[in-house]
Amino acid sequence: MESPEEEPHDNDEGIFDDNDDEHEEGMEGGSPASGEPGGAHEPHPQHQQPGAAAAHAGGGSGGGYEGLERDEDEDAEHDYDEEDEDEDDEEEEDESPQEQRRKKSKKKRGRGTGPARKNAKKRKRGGAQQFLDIEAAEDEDEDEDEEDDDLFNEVADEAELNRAASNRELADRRRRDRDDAERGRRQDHLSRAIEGMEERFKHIGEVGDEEDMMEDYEERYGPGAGVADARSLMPDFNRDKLWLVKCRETNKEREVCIAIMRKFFAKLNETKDAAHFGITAAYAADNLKGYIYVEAENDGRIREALYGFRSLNITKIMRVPTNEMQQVFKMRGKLMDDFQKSDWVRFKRGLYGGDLAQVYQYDDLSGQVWVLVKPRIDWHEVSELSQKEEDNGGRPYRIPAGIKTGQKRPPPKFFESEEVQSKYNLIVETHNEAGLNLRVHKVFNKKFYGGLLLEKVRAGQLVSGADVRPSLDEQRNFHPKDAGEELHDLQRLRDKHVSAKPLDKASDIVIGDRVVAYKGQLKGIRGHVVDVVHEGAQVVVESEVANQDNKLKYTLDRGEVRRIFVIGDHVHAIQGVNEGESGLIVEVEDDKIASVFSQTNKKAWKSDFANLRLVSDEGVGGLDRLGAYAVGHLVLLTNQETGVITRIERNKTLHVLLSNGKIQPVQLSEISQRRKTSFSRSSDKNRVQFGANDYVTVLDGEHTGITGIVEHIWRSQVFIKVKGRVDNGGYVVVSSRNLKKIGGDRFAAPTAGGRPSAVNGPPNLGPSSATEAGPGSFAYEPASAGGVIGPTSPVLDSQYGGGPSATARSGRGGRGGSRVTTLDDVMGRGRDGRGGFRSGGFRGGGGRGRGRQHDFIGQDARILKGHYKGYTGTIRDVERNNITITLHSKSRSVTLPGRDVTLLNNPDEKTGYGAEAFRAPSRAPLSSQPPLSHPPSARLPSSRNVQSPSYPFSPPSIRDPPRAANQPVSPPYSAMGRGAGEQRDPYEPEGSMPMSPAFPQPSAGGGGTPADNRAMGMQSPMPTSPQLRHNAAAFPQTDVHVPRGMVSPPHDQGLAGAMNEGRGGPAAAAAGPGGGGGGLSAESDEGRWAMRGVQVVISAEGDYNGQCGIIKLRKTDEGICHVHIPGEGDEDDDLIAIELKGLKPLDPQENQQQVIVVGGREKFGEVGTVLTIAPTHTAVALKMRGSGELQTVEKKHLAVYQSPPASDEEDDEEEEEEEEEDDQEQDEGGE
Amino acid sequence: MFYLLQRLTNVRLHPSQIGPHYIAAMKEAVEKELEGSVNADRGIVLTVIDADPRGRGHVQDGTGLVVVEVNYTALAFKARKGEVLDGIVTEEVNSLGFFCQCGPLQVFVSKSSMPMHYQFVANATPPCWQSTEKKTDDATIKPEARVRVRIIGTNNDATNVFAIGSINEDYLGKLPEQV
Repeated sequence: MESPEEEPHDNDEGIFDDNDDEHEEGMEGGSPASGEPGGAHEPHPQHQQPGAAAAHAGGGSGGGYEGLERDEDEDAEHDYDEEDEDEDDEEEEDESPQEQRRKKSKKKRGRGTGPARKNAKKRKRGGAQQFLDIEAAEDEDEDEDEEDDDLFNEVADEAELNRAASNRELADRRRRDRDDAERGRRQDHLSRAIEGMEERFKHIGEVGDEEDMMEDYEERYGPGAGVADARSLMPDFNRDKLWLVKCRETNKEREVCIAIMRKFFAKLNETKDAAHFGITAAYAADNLKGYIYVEAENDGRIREALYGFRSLNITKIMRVPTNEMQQVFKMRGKLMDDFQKSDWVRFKRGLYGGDLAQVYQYDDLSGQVWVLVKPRIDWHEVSELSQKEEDNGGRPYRIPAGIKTGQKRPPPKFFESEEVQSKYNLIVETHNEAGLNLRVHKVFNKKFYGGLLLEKVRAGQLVSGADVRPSLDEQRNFHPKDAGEELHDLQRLRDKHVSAKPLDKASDIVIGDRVVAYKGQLKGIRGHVVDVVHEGAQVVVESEVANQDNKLKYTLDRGEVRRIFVIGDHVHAIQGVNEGESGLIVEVEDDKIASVFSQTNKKAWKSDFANLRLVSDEGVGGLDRLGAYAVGHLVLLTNQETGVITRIERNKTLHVLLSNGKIQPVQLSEISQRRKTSFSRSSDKNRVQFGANDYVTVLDGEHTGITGIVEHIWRSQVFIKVKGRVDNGGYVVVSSRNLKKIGGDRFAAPTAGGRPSAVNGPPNLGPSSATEAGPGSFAYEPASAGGVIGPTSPVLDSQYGGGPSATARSGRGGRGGSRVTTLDDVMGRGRDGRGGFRSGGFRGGGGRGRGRQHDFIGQDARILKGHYKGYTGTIRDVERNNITITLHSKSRSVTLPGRDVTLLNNPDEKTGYGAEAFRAPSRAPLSSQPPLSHPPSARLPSSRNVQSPSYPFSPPSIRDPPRAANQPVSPPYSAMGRGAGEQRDPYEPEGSMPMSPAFPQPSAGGGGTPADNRAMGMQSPMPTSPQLRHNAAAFPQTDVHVPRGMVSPPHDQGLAGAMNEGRGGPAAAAAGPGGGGGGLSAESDEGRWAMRGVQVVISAEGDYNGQCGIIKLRKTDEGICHVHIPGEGDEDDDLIAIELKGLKPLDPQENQQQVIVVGGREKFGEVGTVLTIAPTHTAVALKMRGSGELQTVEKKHLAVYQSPPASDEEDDEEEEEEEEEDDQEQDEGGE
Repeated sequence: MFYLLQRLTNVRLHPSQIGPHYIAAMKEAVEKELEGSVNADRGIVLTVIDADPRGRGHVQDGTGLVVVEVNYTALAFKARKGEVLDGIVTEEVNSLGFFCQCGPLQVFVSKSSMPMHYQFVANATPPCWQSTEKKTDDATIKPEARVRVRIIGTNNDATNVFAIGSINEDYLGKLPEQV
């Protein structure tokens, strides 16, 4: 509609032409008329919501109507108020003007058309004004008007039509004679409304118009009436409901609303009862196309009232839930922008595109903003053009607001009155800008203030809020130096304003903060944040109202609230110069700045609220992290104590669980550093090594029975995280001696099922479990110590002692297997195939994963089946289940399934018993097995003796349980773990039998281990080998006492170090008393150090025990060494074949000794002479034999060496080469 | 405000303490553990009034100590916002305000929480806050003076308790010297 007052006179466009002009001018000068239809009716959702009598889209009429009612004398109205809405009176005290309006209109509605009131007062038209603001938005839309009229005609009733016919006449008459007796009531109403509007528009643009209104309200309803108590506005069940009515034609929603309103008037005219219509409000939301909102008591009434509206589908009426009603009227998008005076904004496009501007005034009704911007005006051009215009005598010249395409925009330059006047001969007027109450300079159509251009722009053309990001430079250069006093005030205001605004870092309002809404609909509301929703975009605030029982929660936009504090709050500064300080607020200034007193340094400091954060005394919630420290970190305190941070309170107190089990609250400053213990290892009660992330159970002490994950190891104390335990963050500290390692590797756990078993399983075997478990637990533990438990590991452990080696280091583990392990087994290619691989134990060695398949590449293998059965070759490629092997004897590569291939260095293939040799017996009855599984008979006793506690696992004990236990267990086992089952048929007997020694252990062990094993076996058949290797290595190694140095070359510290340690673990653990903890990294180095020429001492029990010898020959793949033991005379020389594990290299000790490097990578195999041995016994200076260079080598990498006689060398050359090659390969594989 | 706390706690007794003096030892252990301890929740425990074992103690695995669950009654003090306390001004009187000790609680009274007419006299010995209205000794806040303050904020740290107070109200501030 063109202008509000026309609405009632539907078809009479142009009747008020003269007025229209007036109005338009008025609007231009700051009328609320909005260019944006959307903006028109939304600014005051509250008043719309419960619905003024008329549809809001037709607010003009509503206003008019309202105005009419107000015509009644005030007393009457007050009387009415008191009579009918007693309970409302109180509320009204606090109500916003909008609300007041709404209420009034509602009252009127309820009352119907009251008697016409005389002596309308201007201020009583506030309500009308309001609707006019809204209505003005319709101005632009001529088409809409026409459509409206059409629509109206469709639904018009007779009265309406009659009225329309007489409209023009009536209007004219109204102008001439207001007291014309012929005016009907309605026309009277209308004319009065129009009158009101005229009045109003006359004043539009006048300074303080709005303020007047506000004053009126305040005067009438008492101070503070302008501040809404939003609660009273909230919909409840007693009020009319909101319904959603489908609109058949999109983009007609508004028109339909207007039509509804007209119908309402028509009905009203007819019935004189507003309630009769049934609909109290209709509303078209811009953001919801295809629907209109209608407020009514029930949908039946809607149907009744809207019957006949072709555009509406009244069969589809949906109820808007009461709690969502509020949201319907929520302003969205740009409209939410609240331009505060002195806010920074930025032009989006146009002449000033990208330029920084400052808001001078914002008219939220029109959505227009007065901004100050540095002018980009080419005065020269202006001067010329204006002269031209003037000469042409045309219209007054206007400085263009835009730029022509292709034209360069003038640079920004402050406006200087004198310059413009004198240099360009332009007239600078001084003009009082009424709307702003500001004296400005005016040049043609442009106004300047303080050197800046004062421009009125639509809000939509501006970037506002956080996106503006004014640079300091921009801000600094914004105002000319000689800017007026007020500008400086403005600047100050802005500074203050900005500082009061939430800053970036501080902007995250958290639960518990006390906030105030400083803008938005619920401005002024104070409360506590009880929730932060929509990823921080909104906060739920529980208001602090007097009524404690009825605390209301509001959801506010994050930008609408800022943090506030009161005296006595315990705060800390999260940013600013006082960052990190905390204290109690002793003073609050302007609700923005707090004086805070720090009790720690007894100082007071001031800070903006935005920089402060409330500290919770209770520390509820706590923090995860403080500075560089987080919960769970092992830290060293300044008092030299070490502990784990179990809790960080919001007041920055850290609770540290010390190694003595006490909790100590400390401040950040008391922490000197963080300790990293990821590679620390310790050994448990059974001397099984474990490290971080291992599962352990507490066997003894205060926390007996607890099972958890090792988080840190500090000296002998182990910090364990217990899942599900809440005190001390779930941390307990226990001496490692009271622990028992259980389960598998934590990494493998989730997939391999190790975790459940570890946790639920019967790990709590108690101290005695180790012995009770017998072989089982033993075989198991080394495995776990190695970091991994493979499914088959127990089996392989006991069977061949060492699985097929995957890495060089672990490669030549113990021997004595009894069954051929195909690569399928090794790789875990059962049915689980790759799954097993992943969960696989190959991480085990050092707990690090590595390309499993690569482990095999380069290794020698024997083909077990098919055309090439018996051939040996080198594995060239491993792809899923297929292995490509280059045959040794023919220049040919074949690809075979993994199950048909076995590694050549597989112990069972090459041990002294040889593949053939042992295979046969392995098929033999079980009784024959023990000797097989521990082939060197000399070894058994020795290992039994040495390995003490957990090694009762000797042949006799094996022999019996195996059978019994094996039967039930093995089938599932093989089914689960071994995919290659059928293929291996010929070996199946072996498969199950060899398992037997292993299996009984778990079963004997009380179920814990089997559970583990089986669980893992199922899911990770794969891991077999790596840990196998360990175990294997560990096994035989137990009685080989090599300096620990061999185990973990320091240069490998880190991954490898851990690995080595891991590997060393089993050995050490199993070594028992005899082992003395000498954790030789059996599997890995074992294979390597035993080189020809290395001097050894025989540690295996027997006749040769303790004798020294020199390795003459080492059968690489069998773990057998031929050792030359020099006797007293030449005749007494002995050459014996002995298991590698029965040997121990001699430590280099004296100077000038010839040594060979048997460890490390770089100088492996090189021979040199010892120059000095560092006092720490870790490093040895060497003179290398070949190059004569001086080198420093870790002592642990050295073995005493005696160059073999030339003849020997020749003899053994081949072997040696093979060995070397193997080592190389395995080394690579190991990487 | 003073509270009577009735809580449960566990104490560990050395085997040598088991015997005729069991109860005494237990009580002593409770006192040792609790008295003087600060807790945001319960405040400062001033003294343990009573302690009774709750059932039998049990021997703790691994340590050999006897763990006894004890039902204790203790007197605790916790300052609440708004509470009015009497205290004695400590040595710390400076331009920011003054400190006073209300029992175990240290209270700071900021100059902003004092009546406007109080002024800091730095050159007095000792420095003090003096009312400009009545320059009698009754209105001089100096160390050892007795003051009445209202607690306006507390900070119950894990380790110490601290509060800020105000004397900017009727009947607060300097108390007449005791005779």
